[in-house]
Amino acid sequence: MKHRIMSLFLFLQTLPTLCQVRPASLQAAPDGQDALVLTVRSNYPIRDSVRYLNENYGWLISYEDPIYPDVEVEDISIPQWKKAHPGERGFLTPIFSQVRFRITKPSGSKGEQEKILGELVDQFNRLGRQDTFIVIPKPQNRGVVVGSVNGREALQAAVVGPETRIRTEAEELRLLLEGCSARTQIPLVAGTIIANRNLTLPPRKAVVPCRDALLAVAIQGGANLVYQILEDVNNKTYVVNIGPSKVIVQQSQ
Amino acid sequence: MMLLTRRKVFARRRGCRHIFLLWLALSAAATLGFAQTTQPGSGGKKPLPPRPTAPMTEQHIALLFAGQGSADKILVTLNNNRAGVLSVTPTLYRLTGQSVTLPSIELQQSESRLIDFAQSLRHSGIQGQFGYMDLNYSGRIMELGAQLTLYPLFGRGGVDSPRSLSVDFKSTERAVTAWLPEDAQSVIALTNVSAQAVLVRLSGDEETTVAVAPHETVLRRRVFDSNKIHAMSVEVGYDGPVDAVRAFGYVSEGFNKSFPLRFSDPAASTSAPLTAVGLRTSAPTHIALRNLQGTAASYHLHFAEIGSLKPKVVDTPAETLEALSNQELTITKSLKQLGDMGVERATLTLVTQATSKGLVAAATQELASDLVEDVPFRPSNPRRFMRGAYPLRWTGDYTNHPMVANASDIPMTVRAYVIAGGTTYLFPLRDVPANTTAVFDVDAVRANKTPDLNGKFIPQDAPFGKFHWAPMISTKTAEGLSGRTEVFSAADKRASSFSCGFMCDYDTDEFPYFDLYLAGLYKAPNQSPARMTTATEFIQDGYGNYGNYPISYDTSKLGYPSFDNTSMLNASTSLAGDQKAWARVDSGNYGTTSFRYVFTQEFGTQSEDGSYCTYGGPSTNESNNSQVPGCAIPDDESTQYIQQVLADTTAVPTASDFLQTLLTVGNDDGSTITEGNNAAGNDSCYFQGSPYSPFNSVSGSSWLIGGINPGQAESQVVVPGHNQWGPDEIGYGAGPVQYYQQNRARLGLSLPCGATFSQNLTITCSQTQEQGPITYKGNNPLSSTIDATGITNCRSSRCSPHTNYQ
Repeated sequence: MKHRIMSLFLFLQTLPTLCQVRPASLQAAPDGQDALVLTVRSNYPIRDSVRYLNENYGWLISYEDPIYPDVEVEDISIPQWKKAHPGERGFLTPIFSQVRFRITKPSGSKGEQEKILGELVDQFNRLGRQDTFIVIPKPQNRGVVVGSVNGREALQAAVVGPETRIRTEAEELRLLLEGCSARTQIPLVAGTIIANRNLTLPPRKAVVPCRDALLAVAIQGGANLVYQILEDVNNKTYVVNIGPSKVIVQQSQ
Repeated sequence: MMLLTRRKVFARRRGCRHIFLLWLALSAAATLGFAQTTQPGSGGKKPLPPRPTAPMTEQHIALLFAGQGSADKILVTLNNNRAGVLSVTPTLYRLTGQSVTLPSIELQQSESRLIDFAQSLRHSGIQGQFGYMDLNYSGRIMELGAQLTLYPLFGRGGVDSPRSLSVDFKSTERAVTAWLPEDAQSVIALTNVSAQAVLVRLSGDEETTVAVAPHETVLRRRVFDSNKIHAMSVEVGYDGPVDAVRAFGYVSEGFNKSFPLRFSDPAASTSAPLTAVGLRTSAPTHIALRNLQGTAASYHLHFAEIGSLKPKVVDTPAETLEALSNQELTITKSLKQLGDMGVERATLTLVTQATSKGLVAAATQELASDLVEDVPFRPSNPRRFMRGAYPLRWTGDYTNHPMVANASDIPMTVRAYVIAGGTTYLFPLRDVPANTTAVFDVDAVRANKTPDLNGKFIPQDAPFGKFHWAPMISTKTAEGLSGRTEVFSAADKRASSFSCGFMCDYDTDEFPYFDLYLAGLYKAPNQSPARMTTATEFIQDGYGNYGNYPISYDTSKLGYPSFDNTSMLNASTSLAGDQKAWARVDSGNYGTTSFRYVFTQEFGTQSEDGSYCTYGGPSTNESNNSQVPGCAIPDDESTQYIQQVLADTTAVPTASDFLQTLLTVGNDDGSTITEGNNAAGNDSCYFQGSPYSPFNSVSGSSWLIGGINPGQAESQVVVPGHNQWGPDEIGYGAGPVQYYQQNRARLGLSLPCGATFSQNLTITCSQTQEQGPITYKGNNPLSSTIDATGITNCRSSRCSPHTNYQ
């Protein structure tokens, strides 16, 4: 095991000469019968852990990036670029980190998602970083892991008003991105949307939090869809991605 | 900090004690359960086509306790209107807004359960006063019926507290009025079911402002001087979500009797006339009126005997109610006049020229010294909820009195049935002329073992049941029918009214089968030889709720819109209000040598969630020997680039529309194509640190063959023809295109890059429900390639032109 980590470490150290993008990895190892140790190397350790749980245990957890403070952002553009483009911005990304989490192994029991996600974010929050996470359970066995810095979340408590028209997913997404951006003063943009964007949504009866409205778009687009809001640190925008919690393959030929 | 707050909530929920005991109590409260079986479909018929179904969504019902608690008597009636098990998660909120999560309740199909709720709470050690209970289930709106009977005065009569739904409200205004007996006191409960605090303004008899925290219930008590005031009124207004504040209350006369304060949202009123269905002529009766408008309103009262096609009537002289004023009317004299004519019950209609938001009213009948009945006095239900599903109870001394009144000036027809003990009992179709009330004497037909149209009986041993009514399809008025059942028990000291509307989905019909002209070959899309003539029968819906009506109808009498047979295929036809009609052509191999085509029409009233009440199935001929339009499995398909995406309102000019033509020997129009992944996709543009998630899966979309996908914007632009489907939109969004163009070089990553997919395509035949999706094309290659100046999208080796985009 030590050898493997050492060799990986050496490999990572050699990357910058080719490209400073470092490959993410997540290793899950059992720790006794009832626990898992997740070793995550990533710019997004919490997101990747959530993705692991979604993909391996069929969970439907959405994710929101914190608004990363400058100290937790690094420029990973290659030296050749910097040299050829003096004065231009490089490429900013959340710092790459390695984090190890010990969590209860999911067993399918009722209420375990909230508990296990709580364990995950508790351990992350004790790292002393400015960005911290909370878990917000949602109906239909869903939840959202929300990042914040000094209590400030990307979506804050933004709400959108009632909408009586029957809208397609695409229209609703556009309305939400505009409406929620106006409320949060943080530009939300459409990211990778893997959903049937032509499905229609029923009227929205009341003022609802943007978070719930986005979740409704994801749910309406497909039973296994979740959203991920990730900060584009370079453009100071928040990218709303909607896609399957796990890519389902039905091989026929 | 926020984390800690939320954790506390979780901890409280986990810390709730005695949940298991309460679960046992609730389970034991169920009347001896029996499995109700749905009626089999009509034998020998062609398989039903898939009907448009509404998605199962999260539903919430609020039951308002107005401060009543575990020390009081509280009955809960739960009505499962689903033809299957329905699981309900109740969360009880104390007056302070603290929640107590209760164990889930499983209701059997069509079960009506009566629970002694306060007793269950006491057995479980849950004490205190409560504001409301949230009933949460996954399903459709109004699939669960619920009502409380509260007993604010110990040992006295019960008070109805009907369920409260978000759809009951269109504004943040509420209003109520009530007769005030001697020594009257009132309790008004302002419940905030939302997660945000609201400031509530009370006006009318009392002017004040009350802050109500999330999930909190604030009680306002008043004592009245009966020498000075005989009717009260309260108006409520606030800023916040339209469904945040649920107001309810009751009036008590000393320690003798009490009755509810039924608040309503004037903006949600459907019509100016108000109707109180089936008042007893023998009971002292009080009417309270409140004029909410700034001008005087004239009105008169019209009483009409129930259960008669030519009812005896009494009309009172016209009167005027001043602006913003209350009035108490004692109508005992008018009712006695009817009683002297031999009338036992009458429906009261308040006829006025005021606006639909102008008046609110209440009707209260004194049935005994300690029991009064508050009869809902209100406009008819909105069209989409103009039907009912009421509980029936035959335990102890319970009696049931279902009635349906037609307050419109147009005759209508109502169909009604009882579901009890696994049997569906059909009443004959009932004509309800204007201003008459139909009575459905369920207790008598049960006691007398009166057979229905199919020779069935209401089982004598069924302890409970359900009474369903609905207007015949395509009534010609938008509103007008009001239903109510009175569930009476002297032992339980209750005369409860159940009158809530019901979801139209559950009246979905395969209706009707038409006679056909199969006069010739179908030549072109805009020429149909088929025409509607006579509907020969109804068949059951998917819930097994009704059997066949062996009755013939002339479709022209059912209010169907007339179709121009030469243009019926052009597009959907918009009708007024919430209706929509559309047409479709199905084809079939009729005989051995020629293709013949039959006409299918679909017609629906659109419901709350976009589904349709009524739905026409495939046509067939009288001799029942035409073949159902076929669906061949395609051998393959060809694909054709059409255009860059135009109508997508999220602005995806970087995606491309492709149209497919099936290579098939049959006619697949009306069937459905669905895509899936034959293998996981690959996004070579993505790199660690990109805020754009990998583009590595198809979306799982579905398309209608040979037609427009309803509601799909891009499909309106690219209209598939015969045996065609699409558009299949392929490509990255604009955001990732620019992002990867701008940033990959900064990381030493090259362009072009792209996403590739292996698409799996299945077909689901519209005419054969038993036949599931069949893969006709697997491993179909899709790709989207980003370069330094734009994008190119491909499907089955057919590619869009390079689109410049930077």
